[in-house]
Amino acid sequence: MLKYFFQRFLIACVTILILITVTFFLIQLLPGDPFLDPKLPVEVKENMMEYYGLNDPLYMQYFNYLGNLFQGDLGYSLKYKNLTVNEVIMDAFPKSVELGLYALLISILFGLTLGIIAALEHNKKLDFLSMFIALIGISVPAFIIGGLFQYFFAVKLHLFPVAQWQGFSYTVLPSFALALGSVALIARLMRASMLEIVSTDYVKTADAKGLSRGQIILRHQIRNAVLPVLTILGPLLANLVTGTFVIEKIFAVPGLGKYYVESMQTLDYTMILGLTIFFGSFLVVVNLLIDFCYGIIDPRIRTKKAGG
Amino acid sequence: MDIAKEKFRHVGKDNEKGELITRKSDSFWKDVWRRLSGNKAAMFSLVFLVLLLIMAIVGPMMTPQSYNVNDLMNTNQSPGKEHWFGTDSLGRELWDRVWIGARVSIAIGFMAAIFQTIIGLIIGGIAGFYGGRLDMFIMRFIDVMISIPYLIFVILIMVIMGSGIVPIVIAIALTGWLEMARLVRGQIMQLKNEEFIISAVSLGAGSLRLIFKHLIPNTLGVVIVSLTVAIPNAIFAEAFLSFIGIGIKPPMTSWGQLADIGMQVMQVYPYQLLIPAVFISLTMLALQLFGDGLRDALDPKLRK
Amino acid sequence: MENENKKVLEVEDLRISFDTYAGEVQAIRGISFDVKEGEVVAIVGESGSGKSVTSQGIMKLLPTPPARYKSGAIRLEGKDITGYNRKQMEKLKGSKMAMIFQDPMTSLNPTMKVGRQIAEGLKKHTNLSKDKIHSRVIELLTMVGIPDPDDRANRYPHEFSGGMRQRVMIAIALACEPKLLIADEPTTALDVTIQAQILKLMDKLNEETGTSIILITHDLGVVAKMADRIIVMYAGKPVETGNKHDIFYNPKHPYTWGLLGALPRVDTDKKEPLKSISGTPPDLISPPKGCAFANRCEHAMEVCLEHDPAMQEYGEGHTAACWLHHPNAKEYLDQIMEKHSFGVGGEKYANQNAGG
Repeated sequence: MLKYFFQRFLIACVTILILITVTFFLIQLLPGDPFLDPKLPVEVKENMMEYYGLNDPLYMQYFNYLGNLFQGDLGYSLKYKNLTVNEVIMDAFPKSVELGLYALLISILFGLTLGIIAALEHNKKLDFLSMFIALIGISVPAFIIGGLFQYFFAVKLHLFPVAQWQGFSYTVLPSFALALGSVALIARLMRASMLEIVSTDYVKTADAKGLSRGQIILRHQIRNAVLPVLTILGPLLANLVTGTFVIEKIFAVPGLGKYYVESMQTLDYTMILGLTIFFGSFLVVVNLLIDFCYGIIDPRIRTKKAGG
Repeated sequence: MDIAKEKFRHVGKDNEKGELITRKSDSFWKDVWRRLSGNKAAMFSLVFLVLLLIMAIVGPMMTPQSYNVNDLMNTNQSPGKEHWFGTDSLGRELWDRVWIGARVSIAIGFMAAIFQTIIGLIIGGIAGFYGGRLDMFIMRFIDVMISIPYLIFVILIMVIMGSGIVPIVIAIALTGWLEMARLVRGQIMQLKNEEFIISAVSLGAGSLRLIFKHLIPNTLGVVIVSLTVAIPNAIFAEAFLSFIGIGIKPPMTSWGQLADIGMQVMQVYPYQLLIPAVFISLTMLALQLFGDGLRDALDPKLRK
Repeated sequence: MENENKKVLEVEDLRISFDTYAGEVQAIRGISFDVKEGEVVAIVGESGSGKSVTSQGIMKLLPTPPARYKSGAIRLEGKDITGYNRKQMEKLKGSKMAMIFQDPMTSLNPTMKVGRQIAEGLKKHTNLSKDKIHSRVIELLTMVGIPDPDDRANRYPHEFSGGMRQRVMIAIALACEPKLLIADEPTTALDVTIQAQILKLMDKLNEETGTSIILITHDLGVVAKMADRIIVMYAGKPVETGNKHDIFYNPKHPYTWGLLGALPRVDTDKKEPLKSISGTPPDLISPPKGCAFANRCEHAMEVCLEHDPAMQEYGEGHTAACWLHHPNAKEYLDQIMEKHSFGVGGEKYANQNAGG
C-alpha cells in the first residue's frame, strides 16, 4: 500500500517537473519580447530586461526560475506592473475554487441522482428524460450554456444577477453552467454502471436473501456502482478547471480563469507561465489525491496494489 | 394414442437439423450497417450532418453578400427577408459567416482528428509492436502527458504559434494522440498473441507487412470509435479557443468566435448569440448521437 | 416416516416464457415435481434445458418482464405461492427457501464484509439482537467449515478462495434454516477436489438440518451420490424422472442414455470412445412439433418427428417420455437393447460412485 502511494507520488513529482520545463521553454518561443512598446526608451527597456534577468543565458533563466519556484515565487506580472503572480493567485484562486466546488457538488448530486433514476427506470420515460438531459450536457459546450443561462435566466427572467461575484445569488448561474457537462458525464457513467450491476450475481444473491428492492439498491447496487464513477473524477476536475476559463469570462467572475484568458490575449508571459504551471500542478496533485482515495475505498485495490 | 404402426420406422438422427444454427449470419460490415440504420437517432444525425456539409459548401453562394465585407449602412440588422440570419456590428451577413464558420469547424474537426489518429496509430503501433524498453518509455511519457489536461497544452501552443486554422489543427493533433496511442497499443498487444499473427510470423512475414496487413486492419474498430470522439472534441476545442480569443481571428470566422461576439451584444441583439449557439449545439449533439450509434453498431456487446 | 412424506414444495405444470425481440422463448414448457422433507432432488440437463430457469422461477428471481409465468402452480408447504407479489416473496426468500449460485467468485458483494453479508438475511427475517446475530454468523461459518471464523467474518470476499466463497454462500443460504435449498450448479465453477468437498458439505448439512435440496446440475456424476430423486430435463421439459436406481440401472429415455454414455468411467473399455451427444438443443422460439430430442436421437422414428410423446410410468416414480416404449415399437426397442446394454453401464457407474 505505502509502496504504491510512494510510486504514484514520485510519478506526480516528475510530471510536475516536466510540465514546468516544457512550459518554460515553450514560452521562450513566443515571438517578440514582453517590452514591445515602441514608446519605451531603449535604456529603460535595457534596465527592465536586466531587472527581470532576461539578458542571462536561457539555462540560467531556467534555473533561476526553478529556484524561485521552489521558494514559491512565480515572479511579477508584466501587465499589472505592481502585482506578483502569487498575489494574483492568492486573490483570484479562492473565487475559482468556490465556483469549482459548487459545480462539483452540483455535478455529483445531480449526476448520481439522474444516473440512478435512469438505471432504476431503465427503458421507461424517466430514463429517456434523464439521458436526454445528459446528452444535452455532453453536447453543448459550457460557454454556450453559460451564455444561454445568462440570456434567459438573468436578462429575460431577471431571476439572477447577470454577472459579477458579490454574493450567493451571483454564484448560482455560473455554477450550474459550469456543472452541466459534468452532471451529464457522471449521469451516463452511473447509469451504465448501475445497469451492469443489476445483472450481477451478487445482486441475485441479495434478492435471494429476501431483501427489499430498496435495500438491494442501497446496500448492494449503489455502492458498487459508484466505484467506477470515482475514476472519472480526475478528468472531471480537468473539465471543471478549463470550464472556469470561459465561465469566468462570461459571468465576469474575478477568478483565476479570467486572469489566465486575459494573460493570453495580452501575452503577459510570466503570468501565462505561472498560471499554466499552477493549473497543471493543481490537477496533477488532485489526481494523486483521487488515486489515494480510490485505493482506500475499494478493498480489492487496497490489497492487490500492496504487493506490487 | 392410436398411431399407425408404420410410423414407428427408424429414421435415426438428423445430423443437419441437429447441428443447424437457426439464425443466419451476415458479413461484419453488413451487420454493422443493419444495426446502424436501425438506430433512428443516429440516422437523423447522419442526415443532419450531411445537410450541414452541403450547406457549408453552397450556403455562402446563396447570397450576393460576402462573409468578410463590411456594410456599415446595415449593421446589426435582425434576421428577416433582407438578411436571413441578420448582420453583425460591422454589417456582415451572419448567414454567410455561419456557413463559413461551419467550413472552418468541420475542416478543423476532421483534419485534427485524422492527424491525431495517424500520430496515435504510429506511436501506439510502434510501442505495442516492439514492446520492451521502447514501449515502457513511450507509455510512461503518455502517462505523464495525459495527467495534464490537454486544453492547457493546446492553449500554450496556440499562444506561441498565434491564431489561425493551421495552428489549431497542429495544437489539437499534438495533444490529442495520447489516448489513441494507448488504445492502439493495447489492441496490438492483444492481437500479437493471437494465432493468425503467430502463424503469419512463422510464415516469414516481415514487420512492415505484419503491421499494415494484419495489425492495422484489426485495430480499425477501435480507430473508428475514437475518431467519432475525436472529431467533436476538436470542433469543441476550436470553439473554445476562438471563444477565449486565441483561436480564429476576424475577419476569418468560426462558430466559437461568432458566439464570442454574440455574447458581447447578447443583451441587445440576442440572435447574434443564439444562431451560432444553436449550430454548435446541434452539430455536437448530432456527432455525439452518430458516434454513439456507430459504437453500438460496431460492438453490440457494449450496448446498454 | 410420516415426516418424510410431508411435501415441502410442489410444482405443477409450470410454464415460463421470455419475451424477446426475436419472439417468445418457451424456456420451460411444463414441469411438475415435488420435493419432500429432507429429500434431495436433482434436476439434470445441459445448458439451455431450462433447469436454471426452473430454479429461479420457483424463487421468483427472474425479472418480469422479460420472463412471464404462463401457467402452473408452485406450492410451498402446501401454500400456493404462484400469485405472490414481490413483498410476499421477500418474506419467503432467505427464510423458507434459499439459493446458492454457480459462480462463487461473483455471487458475493465485493465491497461488503462477509460477516455482514451473512447477517443481512438474519436481520431481515429474525428479531435477533446484534450480539445474537453475530454469534449466529460465527456459528454458521464454523458449520460450513471455515477456519478462524471470528477473523474471517471481518474480511472481504476477495480474500477468500473459490471453495471458501461457496462455503460462505452456503452459510448465507442456511442462515435462517430454510426448508428448501436450491443449489444451481454449486460446483461447476470449482476445482475437482473442491467440488467433492462442497458436495460432501451439502450432503452433511442435508442430513444434519433436514433441509430439502434441489440440486441443479449438468453432470449426472454429481448427483450419483446425493440425489434421492432425479429429473432429467431437455428443451424445457422433463424427459425422464426416477430415483437413483431407475436412472442409473434402468434408464428409459435415449437422452438419459446419452448422458450416461457421456460420463467418463474408470472401467470403460479403452477401445470404446467416450460418447457425447452430438448436435445442439432446438430453438425454443419455435419448438419442434414432435419430440424435441428427435433431431439428435440415434433411434428416432417417424412418429418422433410428428408427435410429442407423453410421460409414461414405468414403476413407482419412474416416468419417461419416449415413443420407443410404445407397444408398436417393441421390435425395434428389443433390437436396440440387444446391441447395447445401458443398464449395465449405469449400474457400474452408480456402484463405483457409491463406493467412493
